[in-house]
Amino acid sequence: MSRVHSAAAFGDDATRVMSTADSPPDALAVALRRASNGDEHAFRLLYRAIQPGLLRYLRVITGADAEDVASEAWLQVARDLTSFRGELDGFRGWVTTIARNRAMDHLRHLRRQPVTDGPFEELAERPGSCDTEQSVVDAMSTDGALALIAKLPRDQAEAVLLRVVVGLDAKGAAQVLGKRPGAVRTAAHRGLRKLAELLKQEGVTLLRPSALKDMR
Amino acid sequence: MSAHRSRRLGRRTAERMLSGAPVDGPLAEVLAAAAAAGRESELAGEQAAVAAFRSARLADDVPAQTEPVRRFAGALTVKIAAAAAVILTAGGVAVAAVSGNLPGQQEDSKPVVATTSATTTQGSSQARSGGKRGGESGEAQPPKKDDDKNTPSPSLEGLCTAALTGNKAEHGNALDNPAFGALIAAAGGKEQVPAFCENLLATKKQNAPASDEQGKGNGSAKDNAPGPPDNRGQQKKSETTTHTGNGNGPNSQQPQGNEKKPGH
Repeated sequence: MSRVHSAAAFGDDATRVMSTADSPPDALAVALRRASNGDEHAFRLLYRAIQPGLLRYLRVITGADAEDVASEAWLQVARDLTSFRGELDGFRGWVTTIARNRAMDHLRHLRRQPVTDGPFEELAERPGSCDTEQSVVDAMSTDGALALIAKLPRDQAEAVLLRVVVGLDAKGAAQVLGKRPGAVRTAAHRGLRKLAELLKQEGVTLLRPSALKDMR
Repeated sequence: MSAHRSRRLGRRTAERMLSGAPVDGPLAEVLAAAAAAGRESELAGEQAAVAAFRSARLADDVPAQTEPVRRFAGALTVKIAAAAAVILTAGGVAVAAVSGNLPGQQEDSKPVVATTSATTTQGSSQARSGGKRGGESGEAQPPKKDDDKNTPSPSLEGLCTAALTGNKAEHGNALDNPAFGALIAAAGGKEQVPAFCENLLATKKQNAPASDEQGKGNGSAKDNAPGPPDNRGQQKKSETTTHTGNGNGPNSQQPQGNEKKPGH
């Protein structure tokens, strides 16, 4: 989660929130405990810490409906949180599992391939520049990165996203995916290698969202 | 190490990148971009989520964390209808296998009818023909609801049913699914889950008929209630849905997300 920080783009309240996320393990662990006891503000903290990564993951696997899927997942989380027992990592995995199951249901329902052209064209159209603090990643938009990751085979894309974007460890990602940690680790490593290759081939085009359509 | 990182990604470097450790290079930049700070647009659902959280808590006036058992015991009667829907979807696969119907197909007529078999987790086909308590529970519900507040989260029952059903259906490792974390935690360990669930569901089984009779004295007397139970059930079902919707959102759907998976 060291990457999911530094957002000062959300106004006063949110800035406070995200500064909490700057020291994630402790602050969020406390938030989890409080939220379990009904603390609404704490729940908000958890939402803000987890939702962006979760949504990005969902966007890659479900495309345009990611927000709906995420919303449904959060409704369930909100409702069932008091019966959740576990630590922050477990919570993250729990939320992600709920969201993934919803996503799979959704895809099943739509009978459509998870990785299609749609999502990424849409990704490309999204304003990626509204982030105020993208210090490390000036050259590469979040959407461009997601679009690149989305070109991976699905298992690799999921493994990479769950680790890097959602912030799960190998074991947590494996639980979400219902696989062995070793298998997920392998998929993630392969995904990274493949990403490196893709980057070599088309990295430059990523800098221009308009080029995304050509990538597919 | 950094020298050949770009040429051939070592396992160690890969693992570091995956863990979010700072690594230089274009690939690391891609990952950093993907994991960059959240955007406001990504938090559009925040209010809805918080509102759901709030109403779930309002419905929860017994602090669930400290007294889970009491909460469930107290809520059981209220939850029967909700649990029925949950079970129908939770155990959806098994139920479908038994009844030969997919939940989606008969959704309208079945959930309430399944109230009858809510505690048995089986024989939705028999429940279907014996709509006896479909009507009854439908009538008995609103008073119960008033008595007992609008309790959300039949999740443990749903999870239990799913877990037990899953086991029966030879998906014994369903409990490995993190979705069952709450259940495992509540039971005090994975090994305890079957006993815990049987206990929980058995308690419900005992409570359910009793409270039905209480709530509606002539309820169980109308065993073979004439008329179309399905229709009545249908009406009540939508009512129930509305009620539970207050407290906890798409109640009947939610476990679906969790529980379908082991079945497939």
